[in-house]
Amino acid sequence: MPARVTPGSSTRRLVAPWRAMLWPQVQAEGLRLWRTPSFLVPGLLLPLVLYSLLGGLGKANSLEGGISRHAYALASVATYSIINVVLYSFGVSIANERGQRLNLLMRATPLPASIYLLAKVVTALLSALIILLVLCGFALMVGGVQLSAISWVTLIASLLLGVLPFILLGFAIGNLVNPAGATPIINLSFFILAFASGVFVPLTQLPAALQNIAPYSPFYLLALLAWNAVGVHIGTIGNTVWLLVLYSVIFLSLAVWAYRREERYSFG
Amino acid sequence: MFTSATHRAQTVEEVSQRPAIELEDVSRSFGTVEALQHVSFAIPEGQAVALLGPNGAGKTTAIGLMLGLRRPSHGQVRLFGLDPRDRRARSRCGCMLQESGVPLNLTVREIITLFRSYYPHPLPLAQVLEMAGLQKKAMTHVGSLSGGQRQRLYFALAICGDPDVFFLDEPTTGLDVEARRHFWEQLRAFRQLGKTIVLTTHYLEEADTLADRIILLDHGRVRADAPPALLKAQVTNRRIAFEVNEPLPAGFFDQLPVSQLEIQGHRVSLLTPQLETVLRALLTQPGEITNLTITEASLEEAFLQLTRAESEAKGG
Repeated sequence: MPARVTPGSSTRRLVAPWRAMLWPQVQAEGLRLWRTPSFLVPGLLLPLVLYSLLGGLGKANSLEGGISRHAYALASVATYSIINVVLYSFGVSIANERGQRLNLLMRATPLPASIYLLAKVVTALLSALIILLVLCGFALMVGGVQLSAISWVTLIASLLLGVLPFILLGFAIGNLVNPAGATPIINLSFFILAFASGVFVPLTQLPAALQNIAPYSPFYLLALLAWNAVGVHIGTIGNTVWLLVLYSVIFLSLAVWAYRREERYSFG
Repeated sequence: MFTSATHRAQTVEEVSQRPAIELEDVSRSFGTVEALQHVSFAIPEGQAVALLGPNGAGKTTAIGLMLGLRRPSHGQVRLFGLDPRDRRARSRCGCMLQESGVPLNLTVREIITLFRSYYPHPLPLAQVLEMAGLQKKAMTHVGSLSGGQRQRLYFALAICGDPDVFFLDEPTTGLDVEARRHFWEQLRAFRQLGKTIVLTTHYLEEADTLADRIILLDHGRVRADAPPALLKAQVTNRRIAFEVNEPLPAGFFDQLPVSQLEIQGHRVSLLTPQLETVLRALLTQPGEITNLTITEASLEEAFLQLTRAESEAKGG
């Protein structure tokens, strides 16, 4: 630690450098997230169960219309897992922080909001990476999924990039919902969204009204990226990417609006 | 990150000549409630100030404005000559807030380490733990701390950045007597380092013990602003207590300037701003008076008189 210098000297640092703040912030966010049982069970264990239920454990790579069932199950569940992580670490955790008045504690410190949010993004993506690696490892060892190295990397990379609109959506919900009911609200709506998207239940088995809408749900679009990465070609990539960008813009506006609303209310 | 070197040098020079905290004609309303109205004061560096007042007087609002947690509806708040939201100002502040939470699933050590990273010149971890008396609790999860221990943790988080100004919003509410005295000792040690302290309290003893200046708030306005001794002198109330052998004649006090009159059997106790008048009346009446004592009004009584005088003058 540098010696204390007299006030008036311009050499004394006036604020902490952002690099010194980011890593401790990521560490603390990560510890808090991974110590939460309500995150761990649905976040880490449920994907493995879902993968097994979707038929990812069959003896051979049973093919249905040229589609590898194992690869299909892996990509679907991987999509579910990563959305779950970001909706939890943005939606649920921000709502809880508001409920416990942690935002007040943080607000009074010199930590900039930008570093706080960046740390949340880094933590969520690192946690998602860990969960995806566990899932892929499970699919490889137990499920016997055979993919090229490029496919593995493409799967993980497209999910980490394509999850952006869900980060923004989670941030918006976290600032909007009543903190007391955040966890059930977010979990329930996420579950409905997941099953109405045609990812776990084939599109053809959905109610007619949903059949036309489901392919445009953000959940389905992200799953399309994942399916393509593992060689399950259902839709085109180009449109998918642009639609996800469109969702990002919409959710960004919603997030900014929700954040400003909360700002005005709590800190205006 | 946000400041260039030249900007920085200018600001430090400018800052060193200004008071630590300035409020200029500050008002703040929440909907139709006027929490603060036309409040002005300046606090020089090194002063310990107590914001004293009943619930709803505007104490917490005032702290929130000084910390930049709220914006004034009117007027200006400056911290070291800067906007209180400026990171350079915030990096010199520590605070204990009444309503804030704390992450429960981190250990004491982890959260202090985190908070130290927010400040440019934090105190060493071991020193923070020692000053807050938390050495033995370093590895304990925050969620398992007792109320008193959690208050120590808030103290640790407030001092870990080696702040020049402390803001304490009712820091000892809910603490037992021993914990409160311990906390006062810690705070006195910090005062001796030349730190500026702003605390809100409704414990009058606390204001009297810790502050060298009391700002009395009531209904969002400053009713008095003086050192504790001066504030007491400003109020001329004295408490007279005595015993009578026979009851005083009915209506004896009717024409005398007394308040808080209590008669319990032979014991009589009252407050008066005109000591001589009351004494003369007491000593010239035929009955005998024993065990006469006259004491200065407590801060609480001074406070009551000040706020009552104001509201009577206002209400007419």
